[in-house]
Amino acid sequence: MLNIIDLHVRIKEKNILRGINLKIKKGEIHAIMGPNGSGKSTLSSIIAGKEGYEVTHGSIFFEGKNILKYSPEKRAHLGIFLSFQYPIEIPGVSITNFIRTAINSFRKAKGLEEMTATDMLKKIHQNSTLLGIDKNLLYRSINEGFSGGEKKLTEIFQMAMLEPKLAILDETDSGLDIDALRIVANGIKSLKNRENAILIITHYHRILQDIVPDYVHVLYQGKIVKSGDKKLTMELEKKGYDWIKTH
Amino acid sequence: MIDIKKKIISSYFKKKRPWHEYFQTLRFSAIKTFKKKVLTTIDEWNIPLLNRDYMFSHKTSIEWKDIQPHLLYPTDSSRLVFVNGVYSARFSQPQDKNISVFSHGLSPEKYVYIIAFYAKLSSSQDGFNAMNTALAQDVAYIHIPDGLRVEHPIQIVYFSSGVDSHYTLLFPRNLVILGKGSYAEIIEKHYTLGSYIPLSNSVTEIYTDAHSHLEYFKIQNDISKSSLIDQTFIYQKFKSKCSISTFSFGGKLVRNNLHIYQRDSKGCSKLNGISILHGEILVDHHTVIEHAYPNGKSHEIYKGIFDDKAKGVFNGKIIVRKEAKKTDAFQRNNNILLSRKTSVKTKPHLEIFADDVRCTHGCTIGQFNEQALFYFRSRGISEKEARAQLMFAFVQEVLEHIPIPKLKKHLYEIISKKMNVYLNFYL
Ligand SMILES: Nc1ncnc2c1ncn2[C@@H]1O[C@H](COP(=O)(O)OP(=O)(O)OP(=O)(O)O)[C@@H](O)[C@H]1O
Ligand SMILES: [Mg+2]
Repeated sequence: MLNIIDLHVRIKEKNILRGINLKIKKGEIHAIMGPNGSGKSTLSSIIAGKEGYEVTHGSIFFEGKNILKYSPEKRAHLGIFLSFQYPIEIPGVSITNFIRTAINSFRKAKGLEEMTATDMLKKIHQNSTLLGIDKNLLYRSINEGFSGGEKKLTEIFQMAMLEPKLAILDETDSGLDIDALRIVANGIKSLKNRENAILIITHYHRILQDIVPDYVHVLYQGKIVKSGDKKLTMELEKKGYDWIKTH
Repeated sequence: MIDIKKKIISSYFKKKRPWHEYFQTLRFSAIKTFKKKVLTTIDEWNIPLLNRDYMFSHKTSIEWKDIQPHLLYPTDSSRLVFVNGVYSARFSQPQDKNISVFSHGLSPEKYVYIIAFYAKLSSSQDGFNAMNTALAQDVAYIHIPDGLRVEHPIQIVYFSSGVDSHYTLLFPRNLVILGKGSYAEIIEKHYTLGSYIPLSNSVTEIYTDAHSHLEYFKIQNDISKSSLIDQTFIYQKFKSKCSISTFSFGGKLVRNNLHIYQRDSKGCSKLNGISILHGEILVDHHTVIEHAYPNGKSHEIYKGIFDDKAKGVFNGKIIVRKEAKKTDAFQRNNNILLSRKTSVKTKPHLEIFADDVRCTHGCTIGQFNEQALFYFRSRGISEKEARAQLMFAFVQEVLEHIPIPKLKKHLYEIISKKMNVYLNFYL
């Protein structure tokens, strides 16, 4: 599904990613861990198509197509979704209106009619119930005055609405209380099937006990320095990143 | 330079004299003031205005089908329609005997009542004002009696039409009086039919008596050749509420002078503005709110989106006189510039002479929020639509308070059209 080959990325003369290789097949769950500033969010932004980075080398294939030149919206239509580490506040646009526009953009790209209001409301109802989201939240402006947990929860709500093939979850578990963490994890699990894949970026092995990864990678100074299975998370938990750095 | 002034003055002397002595004197002193004033420019950009060989409006034939698309409520509400400065009984629909037109050419009994209000607020020393007072013919006169709540919005629509490339001067004039405890919504619009070049020099005087509430909307979406100088004066009494919203989307040169006098305690004034401009337009907002009594409130938000070579001015003055204790004044002006060739000048201006008051103000000029744009696009929304949505979001805080659903929808449509997107807001 996703195949990143020797990706080098620079921002303002600074090398941030220095030769990333990553292959994700459908049905798989991958986790990326790594110290602050190692380049995890940069990698997710690049996959989602954010501008302002200079790719100096390498390529990103999604379902066989090199997507590096694709617009963010086109990548979304192909099935890539990014749950932001720091979701931005957008006053004046309600989540319902936003997600409705998003869904209809997907449908338009596929040559389909707009979704009817009834179907839309039904779908919104299903997914907000699944995630235990208060309806009032969905009529408020995107992330404006939301608590940290509410922001993350509505990111996953959007993921549920858009049903992506590849969901990149950038620290979705950070800042969630114990109950919210369980709800989010269950939500993500229920959206997982054999056809889609998840790339989860996290600092904690707690969420990985619910969403059990097939592969765990450690990103350090813009490179994947270690890969393994879920046992790697336990090792990191015990030994910290110094163990990687000195390795 | 063409001596347009001479032409204007001589046109005054050719006009039929008003029936009432008061108006004869008023107009005569107005033309004298006008004669004294230098009137080549009005805006801070010094764009010459009266350097053309203006003509005065003339008769042209306009059909119902020409004007109908520009009316919001074709059937059920009161409407005053003026064509080339002259009241059109044919297209108007006063519905209510309290909404009428008063003409200097006629001799209505209403004169006696009007004398107490007419030309009392508009500054007699301003040249453009004086020009209007001297030359305005038919006046939209709306008087809401004490306690009456008018159900449907009242429309005042000024149409003008003319032959290609003719410069024409027009003098729209409105007088609005709200009696004690009354409520009314008024929508004012100026529209040019055809492709000639009008300059409307408009004056509006508004009186809101105790406990009354007025919602006034100005829709400025004219063709790109027409200019408008719009001066509005408002006199507010005890606990009256007055909200003036100005929506500027089109025209060539648009100048809005809004002057609010709070002349009793607990008055509440709201000023809203949205300018969405492209092309070579200049829209200039000059607002003055004068708090002279205790416990007054004012709330002012102007938002602007500027593209191409569009220019904008926001000059917002708040005066709090010594007696106006516990005044609560809020002012904000936010602007987004979409092109390098646009320019915006924004200037808050506070004069506070009272203690124990709260005055907040702020202004911003910025570019598009690229992060927000990426957020939209990462959810599959095209760049064009994302931009449009973000622009809507930007002006939403002004639009959402419009109490007339039809007007709100109409504005959404104008804005969608301007942004060249189809937006549907049903959820
Ligand atoms: N726009 C930018 N301009 C300059 N430097 C940047 C920019 N964006 C990211 N960086 C730098 O790139 C490095 C990697 O940042 P990134 O956000 O990818 O780290 P991260 O692994 O996600 O960290 P964290 O765990 O704290 O979220 C950091 O040193 C950061 O300062
Ligand atoms: Mg990060």
